[in-house]
Amino acid sequence: MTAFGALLRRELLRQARQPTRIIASVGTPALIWIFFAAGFTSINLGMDTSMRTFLVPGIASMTVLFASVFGAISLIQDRQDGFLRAALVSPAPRLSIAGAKIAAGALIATLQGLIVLLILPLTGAPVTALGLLGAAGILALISAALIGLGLTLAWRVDSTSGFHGVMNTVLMPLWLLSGAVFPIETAAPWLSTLAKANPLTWAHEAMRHALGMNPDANHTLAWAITIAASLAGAAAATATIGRSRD
Amino acid sequence: MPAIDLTNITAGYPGKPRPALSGVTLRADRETVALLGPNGSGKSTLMRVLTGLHTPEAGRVVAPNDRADFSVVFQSPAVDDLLTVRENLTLAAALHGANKAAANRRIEALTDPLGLADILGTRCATLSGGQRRRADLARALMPAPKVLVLDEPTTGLDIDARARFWQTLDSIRATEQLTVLLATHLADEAERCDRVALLREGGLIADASPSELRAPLGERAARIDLRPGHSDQPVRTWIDACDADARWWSAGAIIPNADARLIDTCPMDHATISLGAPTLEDAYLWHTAEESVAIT
Repeated sequence: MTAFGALLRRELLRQARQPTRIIASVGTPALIWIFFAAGFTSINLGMDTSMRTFLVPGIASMTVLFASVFGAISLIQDRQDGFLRAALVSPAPRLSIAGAKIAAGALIATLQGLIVLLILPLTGAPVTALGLLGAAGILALISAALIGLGLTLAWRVDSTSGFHGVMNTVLMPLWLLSGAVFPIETAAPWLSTLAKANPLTWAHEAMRHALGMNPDANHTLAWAITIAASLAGAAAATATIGRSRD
Repeated sequence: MPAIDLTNITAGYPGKPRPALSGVTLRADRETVALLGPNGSGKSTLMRVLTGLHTPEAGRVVAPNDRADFSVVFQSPAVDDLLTVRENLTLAAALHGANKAAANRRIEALTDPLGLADILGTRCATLSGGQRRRADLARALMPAPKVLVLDEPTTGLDIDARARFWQTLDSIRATEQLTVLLATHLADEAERCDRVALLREGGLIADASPSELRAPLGERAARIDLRPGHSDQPVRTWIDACDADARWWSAGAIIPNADARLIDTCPMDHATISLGAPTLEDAYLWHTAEESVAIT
């Protein structure tokens, strides 16, 4: 088995042996969807899609956000436990350390996101296999982007409690400002402009287009920006992990 | 060529006025060398330089070209608590490029000397401190390294577990051609080594065998420990009067070639005195003493 394969297996075993983490990653967003959908039930934002349907892709990306947070925290724990140093002094390519964390995190996050997307039929929205396949692709790309970003930020943070500050000031605003919970077209112009600079906004556009919720979206541009963001996130993490923190 | 060859290493950290290492030269080949020094003396930085985790500002580092020839046991075990011992060992082998069959052969070879038979299938989270240490040593030995770096490897272990750890390492050393570099602040662990390198404030102040380090103290040394809260002046006055070639450390003094009659005159209200064959701890205090009060 290659170093990458062995590290990937480790990450997946760790995930499988922490079932409460998996439940929390899906359960919390599902609860948030229930509360938001119930809370916004009488709000009409002038869309063809109901608010409860509109929220589902955003909630699916929230599971990815949580996966990125857990991935970043696992990097901090690996450093605290000494595992990371043992891996860094081994002949294993440093690329494989970040690569395994991103690959395992993206795999788990995509599966969790797909579970959340299964809410869609409950909202009355038509879902096709092709639509789910496209959404899974976007979820995988968002995972790579957010987990890469999370790992990059976590590299300079010494404690898991310190990373919660990073999450609250960087990752959560990034998600909130992405059309996850409200359509950016009807937002204040300044907010809409800001949201369009956020790659996650375009990922939501692409996912909603794949699921047939936004047929007029510029999906080619949305996919291109999402792919670029995922490559940037993964590249940032692989370039950062292994670099001296002194 | 020695397995470890560090020449004139100077290394530091941004924002620190003093380099953590200053002009340190150290060589080792198929022997066990202890790095002994107080906190902040540069032991950990030397380990980081050796293992490639820190780049020195100056000097030459010659270590095994292939990182597979290197293994490190850190202050806290680097095993994954959520994996079993066997899974950890297989992972360590894979990180060093070994396939599963080779990993299993190596696990078989290490099982008896390290006493792993009963714990191979156990998750590391449920192991005792001593068992985790043995599992971690097995992890480090999986690639059959030429150089084994031990960074205070018995931190947190009780006396029994420490003794078992050293027995295990001794049995491995008897069968494998290992160069071992041990960072420690425990003199009794350094005593087990072929050579002891004493570090103080980033500089190498001695590099010799334990017996050579003890030699300046003669056959009998007196160790004076000041009583907490008492002035050292009466003890200094007494040492002056004894015409002893003493060196002071932070809480007492060491007198080499000590006369047994010192016990009769020592101001016991202010200090305790122990007299006997010098230990490596006495030698350490002697060599690292910041203030020499050689009295004529």
